[in-house]
Amino acid sequence: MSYVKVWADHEQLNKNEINKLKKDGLSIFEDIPKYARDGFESIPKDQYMYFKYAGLTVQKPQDKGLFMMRVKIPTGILNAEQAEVLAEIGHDYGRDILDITTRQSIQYHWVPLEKLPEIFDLLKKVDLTTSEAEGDAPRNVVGNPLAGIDRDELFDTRPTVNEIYRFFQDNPDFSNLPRKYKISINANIYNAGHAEINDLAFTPASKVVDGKKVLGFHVKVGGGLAAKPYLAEQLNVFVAKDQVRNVASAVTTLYRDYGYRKSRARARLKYLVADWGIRKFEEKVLELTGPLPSAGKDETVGWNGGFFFGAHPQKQDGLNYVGISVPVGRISSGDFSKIAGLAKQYGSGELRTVNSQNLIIPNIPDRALNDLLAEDIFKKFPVHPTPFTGYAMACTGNEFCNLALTNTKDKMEEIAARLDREVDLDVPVRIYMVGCTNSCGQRHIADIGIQGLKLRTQKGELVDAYEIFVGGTLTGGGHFNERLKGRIAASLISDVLKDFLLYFKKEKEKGETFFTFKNRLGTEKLQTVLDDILKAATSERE
Amino acid sequence: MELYRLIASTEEGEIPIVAAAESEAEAFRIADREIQHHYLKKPKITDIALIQRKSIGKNGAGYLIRPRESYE
Repeated sequence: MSYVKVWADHEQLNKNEINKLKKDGLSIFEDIPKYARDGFESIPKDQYMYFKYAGLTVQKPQDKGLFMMRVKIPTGILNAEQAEVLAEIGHDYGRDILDITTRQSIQYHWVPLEKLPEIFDLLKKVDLTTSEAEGDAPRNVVGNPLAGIDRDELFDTRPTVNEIYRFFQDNPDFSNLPRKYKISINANIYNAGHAEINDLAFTPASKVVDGKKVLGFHVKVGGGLAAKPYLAEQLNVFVAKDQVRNVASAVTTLYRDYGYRKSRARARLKYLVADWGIRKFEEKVLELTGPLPSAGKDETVGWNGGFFFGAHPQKQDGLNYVGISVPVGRISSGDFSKIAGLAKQYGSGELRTVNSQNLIIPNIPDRALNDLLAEDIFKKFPVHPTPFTGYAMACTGNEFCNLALTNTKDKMEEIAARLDREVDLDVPVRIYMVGCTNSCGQRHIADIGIQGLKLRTQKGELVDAYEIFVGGTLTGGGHFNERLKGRIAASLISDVLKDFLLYFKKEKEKGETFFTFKNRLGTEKLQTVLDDILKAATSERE
Repeated sequence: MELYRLIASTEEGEIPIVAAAESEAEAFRIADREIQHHYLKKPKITDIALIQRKSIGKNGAGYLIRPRESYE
């Protein structure tokens, strides 16, 4: 460690901070082999928090010695060996299930404590890690899943992602941050890295310097969703590719040294940015980096929601990528292995994870494309998914998460499948479901967000229920969706959404997206539509 | 013990309620009790929703009660 913990003598540090001063989170890797040998009962409860730094969360029920485990995949790129090992771990240790997360990571459940050392060995052999996939540290670096092959990228971000990942990974100078810290590095002009919801985001930009156009990045800071969502704000700087590490280090140092450590509920970077204001934050960054050019031309032209379905030509002539739908991001290890096998058989073996919880097989030669697309697996995981199932996302839900009040993944799949059968649209509608007020399933930026709750009806029944939110986006800097009044029992939610979307179908203009439609009609109008639907649905049941 | 945040819906608007309870069912019972206790003339409750749950650790737990923003 080559820095002074300037907060160490602060009087009002939260409990986690006091613990982190005594013991660095990364030291948990030294303890895990002993705990694995001696059993779950040997772990003092005050050590649970450190497991996060190894990408592990004690899974409920908390006395069974099972963990949720997350593996980082920077910008979502896996080689063949890595993909095979991830499938193998799911099969051997994770009850055959892999979840693709909204940060392009892979998440497992039911991982037994005693197996962790051998899992870590397997991951290490293929240069993968769970380290800092959770905890108060830099999380997986998200980015363009098409980096290096993308016709819509300003330049290849793979070297930059790799540099930043290696710089921060297990770096003791940055392993004790006030809270989780999310970095996005993307040069796709359709904002594939979801810049505005990250703590630190590098976005595609250009600037004319000495008469020559230079490609690089703009920088946004302080974004995040959760219960108090905040859209990242832009610094007035242009960052050449060779300056990214310098800027990332400066922003992260400011967060480490000035970020709030009194309350964990007020510790994300967004609170510091909100208090300082973006200009003061920028001044502080420049004090650390030295002078940087002012912002140039923003090259972002829109937002694709992180969806890349279908077969498309790469920037390399004669090669193609194939975007595959994985409904709500959940896939069996056998199916993951099959897809990894196809990537090897038809492509280069590379497989990519997407922040919309889907997969991409890159590097398919023109001559092999039709044969690949004829494979049976794409009946189950389509490359041209239906407008609802293909664009649905869900958080973990109450199956594994202690905060969630309702099921999400199964319910979302069930609703989307019905909508696909009964509502025929000319545009996709992004529906994201979460089980609590946090936003692990990115509910705030969905066309239609669904949030779970428990409802006691007038008849005294206690049922799962949902509230719906309309009109979220990251287009044009972003807008969070807005709640419509009315709580919808789980037994009614698919009926209600079906009628709501049939109204959208009837009233929309050709090619009009849900976001444009919502802005044209207004939230108040959609509220009256929902009120009528709810009234009719409820009276039908009575 | 957990701390639950509930909202009772009435024709006049929403009533925020906080309950410390061992289970969701108990949280609803506490909400009922508090509504009974608080109002001389009980408002017509359309429904009661449980929208958030927090564990009560050694340092306690709490909610800040204010009207919800449109995105909440």
